[in-house]
Amino acid sequence: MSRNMIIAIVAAAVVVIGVVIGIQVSNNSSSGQSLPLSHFTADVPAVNALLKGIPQSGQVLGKPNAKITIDEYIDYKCPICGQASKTVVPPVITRYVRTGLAKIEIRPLAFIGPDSQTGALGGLAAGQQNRMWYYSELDLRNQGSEKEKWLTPAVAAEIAQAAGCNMAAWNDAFKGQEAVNSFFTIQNQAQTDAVSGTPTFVVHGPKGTDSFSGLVPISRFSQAFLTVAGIKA
Amino acid sequence: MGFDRTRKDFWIRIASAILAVVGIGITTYLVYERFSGGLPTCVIGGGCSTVQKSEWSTVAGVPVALMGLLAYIALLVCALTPWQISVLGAFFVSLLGVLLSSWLTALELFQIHAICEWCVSSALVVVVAFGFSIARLVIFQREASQRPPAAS
Repeated sequence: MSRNMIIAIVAAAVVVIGVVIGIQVSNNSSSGQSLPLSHFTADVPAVNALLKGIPQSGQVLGKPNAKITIDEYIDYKCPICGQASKTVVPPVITRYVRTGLAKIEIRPLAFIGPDSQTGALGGLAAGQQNRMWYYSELDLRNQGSEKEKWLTPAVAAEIAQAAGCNMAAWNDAFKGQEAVNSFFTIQNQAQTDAVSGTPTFVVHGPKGTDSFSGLVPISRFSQAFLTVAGIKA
Repeated sequence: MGFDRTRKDFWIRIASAILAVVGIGITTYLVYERFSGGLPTCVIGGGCSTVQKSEWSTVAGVPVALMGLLAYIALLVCALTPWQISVLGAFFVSLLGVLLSSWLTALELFQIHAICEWCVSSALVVVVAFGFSIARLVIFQREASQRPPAAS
């Protein structure tokens, strides 16, 4: 076994590793503005803990027969929506949705930038697999800058993957007409509900409707429940 | 394939085989979680799932964990066989493992910003295995140089 043979082995190993690194770097830089997937997966355990066990159907989180419905209008690029996702929405889900008193429907709008619509279509595509709330929470908790066009189709796909979507089905749905139709339906609903900013919460119950916007305290929801359903919560 | 107890590298091969089995255990778990759709459990923190689901966890679509599993199987075969090709093979595979593990650990620290305990454990295993492969290589070379030349 000559010294030259050992040198050749070392050289071969270095070349192999060089090729592996080259492939990885090339693949991961070809995704353009795409954020690393780890950016979104870091919050998977927290989002799982928040949503696990609560029924999801399309845009709706919660039991279908809940007395109260909360419509949450958001923009996936809106920073206040991101803050609401971390501070306002979790206690609402824990106290009212998980317990079956209310269900909450997420309604993505697009007013910040054209990539808001990309994000909305991605969310609605995830909704076709009943994973829209996973998608939404992972997006809203890990937003890029409001001023940058970061919510590209590649990033939406990464969020969907982190949300546990079947990616073949998600890709079809993302490009499909159903998501587009849902998107325009939501824009019309926002006009009907006179939504002027996000996040806006519209609370419906047997006795009427109440709506409010921004980073509201949990007591604002209690007040709305009393108004729309006569329920002290 | 056999262990020749009279050979000086006997214990090195035993130790290498044990390390390879440990590595196979670690990577089998990671591969299982990968293909079953689950996420590996970290005893400390939640970095394992972050690393496993990051876009750096595959090379041209092939999971790095699967590559590691194949490498450890190769190391085990090399440890269980006494031939010169096994000595060179163990050196080559473990050197690959050290280089790849170094790259992946750097990615965890500076790119993914999460540490996967299973990956770090595997990196430590392969570094020790590399040390053993060098020792085996040295022993093999010494024995070869002490061997009398073949009669012509």
